[in-house]
Amino acid sequence: MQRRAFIQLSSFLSGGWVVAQLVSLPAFAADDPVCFQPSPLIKLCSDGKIIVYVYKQEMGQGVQTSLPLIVAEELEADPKQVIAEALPYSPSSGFNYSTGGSTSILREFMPLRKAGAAAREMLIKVAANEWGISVDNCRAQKSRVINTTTNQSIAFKDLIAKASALPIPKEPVLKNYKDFTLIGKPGVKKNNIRDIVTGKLKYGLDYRVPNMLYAVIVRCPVMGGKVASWDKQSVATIDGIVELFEMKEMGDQLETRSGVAIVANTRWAALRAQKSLQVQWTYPAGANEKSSASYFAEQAARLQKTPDMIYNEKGAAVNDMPQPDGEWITASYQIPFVAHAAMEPLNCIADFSNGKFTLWGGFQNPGKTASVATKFFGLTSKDIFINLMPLGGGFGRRLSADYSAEAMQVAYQIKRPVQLMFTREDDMKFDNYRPASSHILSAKLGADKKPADWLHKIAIAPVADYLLGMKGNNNWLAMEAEGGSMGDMYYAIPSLRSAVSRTPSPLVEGWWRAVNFSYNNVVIECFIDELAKKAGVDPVEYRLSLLKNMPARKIKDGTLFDPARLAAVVELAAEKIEWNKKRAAGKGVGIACCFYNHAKAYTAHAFEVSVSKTKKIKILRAVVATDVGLVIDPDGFANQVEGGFVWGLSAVLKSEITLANGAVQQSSFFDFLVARMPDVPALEIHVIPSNAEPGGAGETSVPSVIPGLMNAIAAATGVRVRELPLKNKGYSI
Amino acid sequence: MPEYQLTINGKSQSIEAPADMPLLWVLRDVLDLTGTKYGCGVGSCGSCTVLLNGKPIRSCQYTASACVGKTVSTIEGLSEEGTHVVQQAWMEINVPQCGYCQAGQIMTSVALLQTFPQPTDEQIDEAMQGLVCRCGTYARIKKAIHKAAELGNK
Repeated sequence: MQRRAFIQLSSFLSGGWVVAQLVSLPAFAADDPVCFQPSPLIKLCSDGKIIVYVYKQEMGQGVQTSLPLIVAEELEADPKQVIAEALPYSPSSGFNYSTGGSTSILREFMPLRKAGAAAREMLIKVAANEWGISVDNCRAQKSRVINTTTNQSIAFKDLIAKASALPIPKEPVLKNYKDFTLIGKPGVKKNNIRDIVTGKLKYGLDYRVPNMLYAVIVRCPVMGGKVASWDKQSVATIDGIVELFEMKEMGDQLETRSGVAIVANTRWAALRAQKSLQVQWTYPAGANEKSSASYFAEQAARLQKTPDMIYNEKGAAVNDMPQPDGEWITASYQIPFVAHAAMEPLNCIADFSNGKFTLWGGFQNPGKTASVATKFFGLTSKDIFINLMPLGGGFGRRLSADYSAEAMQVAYQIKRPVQLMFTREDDMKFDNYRPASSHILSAKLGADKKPADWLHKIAIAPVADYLLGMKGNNNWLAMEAEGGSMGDMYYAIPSLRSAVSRTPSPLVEGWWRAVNFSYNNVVIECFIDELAKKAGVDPVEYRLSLLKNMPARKIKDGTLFDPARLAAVVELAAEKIEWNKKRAAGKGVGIACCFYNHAKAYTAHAFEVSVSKTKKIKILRAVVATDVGLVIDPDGFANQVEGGFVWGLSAVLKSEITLANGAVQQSSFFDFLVARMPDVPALEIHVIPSNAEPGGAGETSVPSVIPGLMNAIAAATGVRVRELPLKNKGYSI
Repeated sequence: MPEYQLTINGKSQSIEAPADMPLLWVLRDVLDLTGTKYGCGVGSCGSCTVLLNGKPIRSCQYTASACVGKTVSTIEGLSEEGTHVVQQAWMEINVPQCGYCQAGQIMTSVALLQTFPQPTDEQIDEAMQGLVCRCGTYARIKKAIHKAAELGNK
């Protein structure tokens, strides 16, 4: 039976629809005689437990809660018996083993439903055979199959032995949405919540393995700089140092720095030594002279030249460089580097023994570590096993593999298990930052006052330069343009062009919650407001006039975009904020919207604010209207939307990473500022009920926060701010 | 190495640690009480908050010697199974996302509720403003503190 189960699983996978991304069998206990595993993701055991394996990593977004719910719904399992477990790492899954982009539910919804439904059909078939009746006279409910004629029932656990001998249905019949008892219902709690509130949940940094040492690294503060010399004597008085050695840079896609590793018996010894160790560096010419100001000046200059790439073009050609001539309205926007600053600083345990690596930690993309970092040692993804721990925040930072690669380099050197920790200062200064970008937007209004011509130019370094090893490859500029309206304008504008130019970054960049929407959507939604003002039209009416009566269409990336759904969230947010109410001077309302094409979500945020003469902002009300299609776990969804709101508030008000003498200036939460409790007003969430394909929430809840608040401030003050964060222009909250 | 007698979660224990080692690392690395989290090491995020004689402190800013003769309470000491009213409220409101900062948030809230059994929003803001949650659970934390106040009065 065990072997048969294994073969069935292979054929199940080869059907191609279970989990399309899962290319190999994971290392589950397929030989367990008391369990039945009709899919790599579901295991039913004779003790009644139903294990749902989640191969998306839990980082607070709730995948271990929402994804098992989808399986339980179709399986008709009793949710109390369902246990979510992280799917053990599969060595050959490569880059596909990643969690990001608000796509977990979007991509897994149908595969998980089919997996649950197939298992249910097999269990029902066994019960029907037992009773000698048709499957039509059976139904499943709360982990039992019920004979609908006699009301007799058999528990799933008593059917699994025979079920495992059945062929797996290729096209199981899915439940009708109206019969859902779990999906979309309130009251679901996070599956690991008790472990969190009792302090029992072990994150990577909480984990220890026998014989483990502790490591920190003194890294070169300037990118491209190298260790010239270091003075062992400077840490001679610190007890417990085991080894000091020079760290090699690990190259493209990993982008680790030159530095000196400190390995010690205790973490405290390593931390003390990190403070004391004297290291001299050499820098490439000019590298230690770069600053935020010089980088933004470089971007501004680049925008005046011919772009590297025209990404989107429609209608009559728009000149690359329209001159403000009374007809063209032009505005320049500037968006800074920002850090992820997840609460759990980066860390990774690595061990190298018998020619193989074993890792423990939190990873959004363990496949990258397996397929890229191993190469540095002349090994392959078969030579590594990764133990996946819950993440104390990801936000895109843990899609990178620098921290695991460094831990591997240390373990390789010392031949003992070691936990590498980034201090908060390291985490802040050696992040893979959200790119800094400069934008010029220009438009010409037609006789109807709507934009007739539109041009959006951006100067930026693509994230792909670093994290995908694509420096100088202009095709990857597309990645910075394809999100949102810059990729394919939501609004009805007959003639437009979007263009990208590269300005190589002085810092390593990475994907940050809401990626390119966190700049492109921000500036576009602000500029639309600027145009509305010039046109003398109300900003809500202006948006609606550019969205209404347009058919749904496939946009450039192939996603279906329905302007009516975007218009609906704009209208709902406007209605809830009481847009047309008369307001006193010094008060204002602002709105912004976003179609997040990566995750099929429509969102609008509206704010009512007052701004004092000293630029003190008071957010009187904040409203969000969302349509993400079918919502699986409403409270988990709301938690994500609340989180996206706070993430956006930090970015618009306070957060920035700046550069001086080639080095990052911020080091902790006292100088990299983020929203704290007193800064955050209540958010009124309004969800448009929908049975459309379920979209994502984590990233999609961010992009309209920032321009929505900027527009409200502009409405209250009459002054348009075009640089973030607002604190640099004297605003506070 | 100096030896200290510390009372942690009601249990007196003797530990050996360098004189300058912060309580945070004593708890986490010497005593394996990893519920208290490292977030910044400089007192700017509050993830490492524990109670010293009932008052919230940043355990990254105190050495073991500063805690001798006082009581230290950590998240592990609140209740094994999550039965403390603050933990109950946290679960009822479904507060956490990633959960990493929540031990510090919960311990700060426990102390706040001892001072103000029925805190106002302003008192909550005041008590909690030193803590960072990057997932953005502030609104739920505030709600849960009110909920805990309500549960505590039952």
